[in-house]
Amino acid sequence: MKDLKHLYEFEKLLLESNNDLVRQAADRGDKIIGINCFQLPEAFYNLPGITAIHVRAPRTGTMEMGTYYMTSMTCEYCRAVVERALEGGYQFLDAILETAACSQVADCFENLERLQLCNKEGFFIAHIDAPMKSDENAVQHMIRMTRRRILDRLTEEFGTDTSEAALRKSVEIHNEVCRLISEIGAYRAEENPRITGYEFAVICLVTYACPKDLLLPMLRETAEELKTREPDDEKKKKYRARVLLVGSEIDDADYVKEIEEAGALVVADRYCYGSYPDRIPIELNDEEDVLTQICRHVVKNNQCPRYMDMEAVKYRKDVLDQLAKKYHADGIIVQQMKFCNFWGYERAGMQHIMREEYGYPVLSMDRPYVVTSSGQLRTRVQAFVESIEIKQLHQEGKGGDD
Amino acid sequence: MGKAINSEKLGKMYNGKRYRTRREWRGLKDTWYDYTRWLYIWKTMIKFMANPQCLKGFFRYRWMVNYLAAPDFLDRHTEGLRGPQLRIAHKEFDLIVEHMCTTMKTLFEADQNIGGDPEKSKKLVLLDENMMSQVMNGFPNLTAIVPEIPPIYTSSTMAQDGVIHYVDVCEEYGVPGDVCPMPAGELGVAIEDDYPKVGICMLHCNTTCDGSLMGNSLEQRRFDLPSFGIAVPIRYTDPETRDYAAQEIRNAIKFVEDVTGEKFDWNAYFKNMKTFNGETKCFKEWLEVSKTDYPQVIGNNVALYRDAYYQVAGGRDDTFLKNEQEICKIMYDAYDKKNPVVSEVRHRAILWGVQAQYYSAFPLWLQNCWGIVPLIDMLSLTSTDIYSEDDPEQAYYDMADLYAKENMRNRSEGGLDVGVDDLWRFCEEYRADMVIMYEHTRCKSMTGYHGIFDDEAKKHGIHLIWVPHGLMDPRYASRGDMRNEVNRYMRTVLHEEPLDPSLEDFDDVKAW
Amino acid sequence: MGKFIGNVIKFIVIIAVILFVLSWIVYYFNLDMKLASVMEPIMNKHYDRMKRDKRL
Repeated sequence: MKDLKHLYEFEKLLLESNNDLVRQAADRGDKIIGINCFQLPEAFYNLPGITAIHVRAPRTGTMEMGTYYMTSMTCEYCRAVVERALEGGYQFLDAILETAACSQVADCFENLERLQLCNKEGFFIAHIDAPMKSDENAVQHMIRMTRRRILDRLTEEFGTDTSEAALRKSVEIHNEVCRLISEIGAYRAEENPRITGYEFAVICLVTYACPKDLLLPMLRETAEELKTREPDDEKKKKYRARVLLVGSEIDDADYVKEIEEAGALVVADRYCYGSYPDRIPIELNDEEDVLTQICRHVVKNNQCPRYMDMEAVKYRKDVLDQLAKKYHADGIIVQQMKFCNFWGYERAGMQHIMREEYGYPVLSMDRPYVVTSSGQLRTRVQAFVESIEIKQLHQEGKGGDD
Repeated sequence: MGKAINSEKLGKMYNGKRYRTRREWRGLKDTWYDYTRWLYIWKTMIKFMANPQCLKGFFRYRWMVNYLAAPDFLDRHTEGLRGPQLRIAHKEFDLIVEHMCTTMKTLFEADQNIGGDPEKSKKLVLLDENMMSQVMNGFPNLTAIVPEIPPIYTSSTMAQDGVIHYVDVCEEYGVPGDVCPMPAGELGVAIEDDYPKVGICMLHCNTTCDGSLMGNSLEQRRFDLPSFGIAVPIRYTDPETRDYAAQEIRNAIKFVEDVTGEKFDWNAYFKNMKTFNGETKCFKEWLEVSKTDYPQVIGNNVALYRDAYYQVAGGRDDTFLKNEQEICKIMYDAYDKKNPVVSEVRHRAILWGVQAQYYSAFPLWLQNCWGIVPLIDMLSLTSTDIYSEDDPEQAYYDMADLYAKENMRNRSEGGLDVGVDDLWRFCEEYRADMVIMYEHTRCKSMTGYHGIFDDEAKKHGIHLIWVPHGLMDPRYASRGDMRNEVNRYMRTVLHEEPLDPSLEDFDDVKAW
Repeated sequence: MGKFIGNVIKFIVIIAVILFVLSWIVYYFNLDMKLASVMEPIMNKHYDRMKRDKRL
């Protein structure tokens, strides 16, 4: 396929947290805020004078200092963030909004705070207690927490306009990004997709790493470009199976590239920093205030394993089934970052439930934060692809004697 | 051999086998006392096993074999103790054994796996292992029962390897080996169908930790009962979370009412909370005495017992209150006589972090071997607030507060203020010069503070001794490994000699 | 009659003393736990032989 015009630029933007577009936003006077989770509604952060990016630690090398502070038994994302902060890599941030999505993330940002690793004038870290269920009490809690601990704080510290009108405008920008990502991602459902999983992962991830308004022109152009992009005829040979990629946070698209190079085309995703549910537009009505609608959207669409009510537990599996069907996935890869408690259990459960109750071939893997070319990963994906092919042959009645 | 502390070389009783060569000679009076308590424990156990349902349970469930070691469990938790401390220990641990027998009897009599009574089963509301139980204080016609306690929590203290079979079952299922063995073991029991089949509904909770929450959601599939998850805020010290937390309690109560047809009885609730408050008052008296030069209720005599009455009994069993009042009396008598708890006080220590369940007698070893007085432990330093005894609206907030301050999560969630800063405050209050820092290597909650603890201990001039362990899985760090961390520090940093050299190095790898 | 009662009391005392001595020996030499350590592997074999419905 012909290269996408902005792909290289997108890849470049992902190489640094404080990338060109973030610097542009800072130069025009925006306050740069680091956030860490879907549960800190992204739709807020297109408010005037605010730019939010997800806290990442691209190009992480060793993590000795992070490991000293958090031990070798904690999630590498958290250790990498502490390491990067100790190196001074987040000095450009004006604030961090952190939700204790898990204990390790909470500890990670508490380390940043206690060790005073971000020293920009007026810098603060706000800790937000996010709900753990998908019911109405959770929605009300989310409203209280986001109003008091995010919106009011932004007004107090930065004078940010958080009025109903400003929030609506912010949601509009967010929704345009979401619609473009959905439009681009929809091509993955084609029989011979005109976009690879890796390309999509890059495009999607860059929306977490840049000011949205500055990114939009390139996104629009990419969506337009894709309308007429011709898929590779050879693709069917290159990719032998279509997979849905599921699991904990992936903020390095190279992981998707590794999977695809082993023969599995990633046609759909359900991982943190991916497109679902984070890039579902928020359809606003005029009856309810915007804040309530945003919070309800986040709570009701949440796919985090920390949502403990049995409805949410079941819903997460149903969503995978729907996504796999919609994108014609032959199998599901469930991955988790090593030492992630939530995904450790969720992965084990999904491996059995999606296989035994929903009938999908499932590959279950853990992985480090830093993606390196891994023979083990390739071998496992290749074996998985082969098992899918054998299963398909059996289903088509060509399975031979065995 | 005699009535004085450290008069017997305790390490010599370990012979590398499952059992010790003999029981301790503590002088005539204390040995006689211990003997009579031993008889009492066997009477309790024989009475339990005489119940046909309990006997069936013994043959049905693998974890029951751990309870053969109950007398050994008592020996371990009274090792080296004399006089008032021995009596306090027996008051507590004997009651725990009795309470466990009652719990298991209740389970087995209702257990559908072994032909139990379905009507009795319908009166049981199952609670998650690591959640407070006060929400059941207003349901006098229902019995709150924690099915995970006999197979996992207590099993692990009875026999150090008592739950590793279930941890392995969980890993075989696909759960990573780095998760905490407690929820992993609980899930292993579910996978292997080794829970009694009882109950009308279940309440589960996100206390203590992320792993526990996740294990629960998978276990529910085996219990197959109507369930309600109580979501307790992680940032519970933030006042903005209180309305949410209180509403969760309201919803949980409504759920139990809807499923069982019972109505929440406020009179029963407040009666039980009065008992609970009485227990808290006793506990506070223990703490006050521990701050003096003559602490009396310390170490093991606080840790496990506090779990039992604060969390599991929750005020519904006034036997605990009576017991505590008697302990207070023993304590004050001993305090007046300036009774020493060790033969020589070398260090006053706070135990922080989550203790090793397979070595719950570790604080006694600290006392006997090195003269380190374990004044208080993190899991016991939970809420000491006095809760409302007459205001229903306030009661929802009280229950929410208690749920947030459950033993194992009170300080591992909630931020640096309660997890780290409070430690230094306690060191000052209790005049402690040492912190024994349990590091549960697979706990994802507090390990993230590792570097901060190290940095700040230096600033506060506190001896911080890290003691890594695997909570319920001694394969990660044996009891001997735990002791060696202390031995090393005492020898190389403090250049001290042990009070009982036989305890410095002995073989208990195979012991219960 | 008095002799009979005396004999009964004597009998009870003898039994009590025997029981006491035996139980004391069991207690002091930890014989109960030694027996339990023998029972444990036997019971574990029994649990291993049981059919299990291993699933969730």
